[in-house]
Amino acid sequence: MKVSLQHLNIEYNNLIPKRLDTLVIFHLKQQIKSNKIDDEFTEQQLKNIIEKVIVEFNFPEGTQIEPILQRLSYFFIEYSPDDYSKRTLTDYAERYIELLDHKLSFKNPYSDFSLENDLQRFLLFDAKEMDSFLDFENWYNHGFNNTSKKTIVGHLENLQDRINKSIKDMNEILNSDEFQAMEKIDRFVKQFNNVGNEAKQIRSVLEYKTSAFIEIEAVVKNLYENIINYQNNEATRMAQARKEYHYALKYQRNINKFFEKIDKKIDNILNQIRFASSQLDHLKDNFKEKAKFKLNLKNALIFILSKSRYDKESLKLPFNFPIAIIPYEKVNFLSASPTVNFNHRRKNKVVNHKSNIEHHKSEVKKIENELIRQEKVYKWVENIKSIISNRNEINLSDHLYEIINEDKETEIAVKVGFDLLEYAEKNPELEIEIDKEFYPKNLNDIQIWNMKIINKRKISTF
Amino acid sequence: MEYENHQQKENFDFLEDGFVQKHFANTNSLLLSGKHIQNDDIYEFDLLQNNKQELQYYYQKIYDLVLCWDKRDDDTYYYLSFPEQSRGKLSNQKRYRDLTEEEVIVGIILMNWYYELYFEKNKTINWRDIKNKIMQSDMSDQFRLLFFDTLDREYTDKEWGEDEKPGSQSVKARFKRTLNSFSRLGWISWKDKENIEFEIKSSIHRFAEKLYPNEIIDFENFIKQYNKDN
Repeated sequence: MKVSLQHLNIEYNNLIPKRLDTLVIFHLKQQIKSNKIDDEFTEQQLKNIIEKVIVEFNFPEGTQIEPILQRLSYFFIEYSPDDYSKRTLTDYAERYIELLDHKLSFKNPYSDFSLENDLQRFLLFDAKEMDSFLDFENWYNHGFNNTSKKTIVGHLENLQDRINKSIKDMNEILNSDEFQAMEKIDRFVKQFNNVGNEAKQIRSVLEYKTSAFIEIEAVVKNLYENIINYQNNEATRMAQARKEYHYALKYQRNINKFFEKIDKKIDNILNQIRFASSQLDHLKDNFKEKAKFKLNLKNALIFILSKSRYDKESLKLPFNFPIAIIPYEKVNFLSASPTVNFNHRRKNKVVNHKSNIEHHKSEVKKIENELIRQEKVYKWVENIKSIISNRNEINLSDHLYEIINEDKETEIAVKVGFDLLEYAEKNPELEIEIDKEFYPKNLNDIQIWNMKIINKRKISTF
Repeated sequence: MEYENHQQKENFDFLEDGFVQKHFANTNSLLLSGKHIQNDDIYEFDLLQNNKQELQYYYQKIYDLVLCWDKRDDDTYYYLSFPEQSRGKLSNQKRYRDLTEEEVIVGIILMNWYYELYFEKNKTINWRDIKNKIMQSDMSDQFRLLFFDTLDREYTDKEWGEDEKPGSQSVKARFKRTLNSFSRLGWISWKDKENIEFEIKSSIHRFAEKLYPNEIIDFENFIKQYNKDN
């Protein structure tokens, strides 16, 4: 990104129009599309539209038109190049209107392109045809970044928007009468089957990525060989080769990351579909019972809200409303140190000490905290171990900061770190890589080296 | 009283199993503290899934309690309950507790919310949603009267609990302490405790179906009787 935050801050109010201004340019575009106004319109026509919007959407009487014209003149309305007495919408305004239209009508422009054609064209390439790093960079920028990536994201965004809208509508079903509800359920089941099939199709088309991964690996390998070839004799060319290799590695990592993210998104979409479909099935068989349950719940809520009372200490339930009980046993583990001296056999006078309750409580608390700490360490370690077993590598520093951030206790992170390093050292399938540079994060003034654990078995199977 | 009757395995042999020995203490302590265990407590849930009949016998014999499980919206949850007509061996007052009045109120609010999000897999709520519910829902007047005791003025940051040190009577503090307790019970799980963002778990069904069946599921009869008695 090339624009600074300060620059954006200055221009923000001109770039993102207010609600009234957006309604005006949107309505203007509608009028142009339906041929009621010409592409090139007069200022009076624009003023008429502003007045109409002010009345229709109940903006305060006396809203000034001049400031609106002023605001729109920055980025949204310009003089017609052919006729200076006329105005026209800027390209930016056209793109802004299109963006809103696509978002609200679930028509992502990229979702109209055939995903399969695009991916076939751009992901199925042959590394041998990439004669130089520039060819690869060109493919990365144009074939991947500007085309495949946008088409894939467009298709998924479109699916996600449709699912969100359906789920929002479906949550209203339980408020409908039975006949209407059954009709709606059938409609949603069909809709969801279609969306589910689309998601599965996208996933199968995305398998082209496997071929792309192999070819990219070959390109990266070639670039690495260039470094070896120039070694010892051509310093400048070697430096260039090294630079190209590092860029290629960076592109490869970006591509892998992108597809990992997409896989997760598709999983998420399929899970949402699966869950909503199973809820629909369940509702089909139990609609009456569920609708009645929901109605009673709502009535109980109305009753509780209206009859309960505000109280400074604790809100009060309606008079005589029963209070439920639940089993509640707090388990404390205490340990005593077995330091008894058996050599001294002296009669002791029993002194009844007054027990120090505060001290006792604080000791019990300490033990409890220690147990909780051990339990947390165990859970973190087991969790990260299972992550390692499924990945090529993990960044240990990242996880340690996550622990510090979540548990707010440095000791837990330190213990987890030691345990995992010890585990990795003893495990022949794992390798520890420590880069003695500080990890680029700083939390609570704690800085640690950049540490990775690499899963060699996983890499070799990949 | 809630009561489940599943087929039991009447022996303690399961305690010999290595996995059980490793995770039993934690599972036991969570269950006895009132927690509803779902699949995000991985080991405890596994232990319960694989030994439920044995554990049901164990809790009946040792504590005179009932290990119950229910399945709602594809998720199973386990919890301990009292047998009919008794409080088991936890009848000592230190071994059970009443829900607080705020817990009952927030419980009914969350149960309703669960059904408003019936088709969403992750029923996640945040502090902004709670504020919107209080200020803009169709029951806004009732919500505001209950939480602020007045409808006639704007509410201050202090009353909402938006200032730096929220008082214990602010709306945020009331929700936070109740949600903390619900998190210990396993009815919600925190996503972001500091800023209040959480997921309502399907185990909250126990609240409506088992703890308040007369007052919620059979609301029509309850309200008739309530109006007659009061």
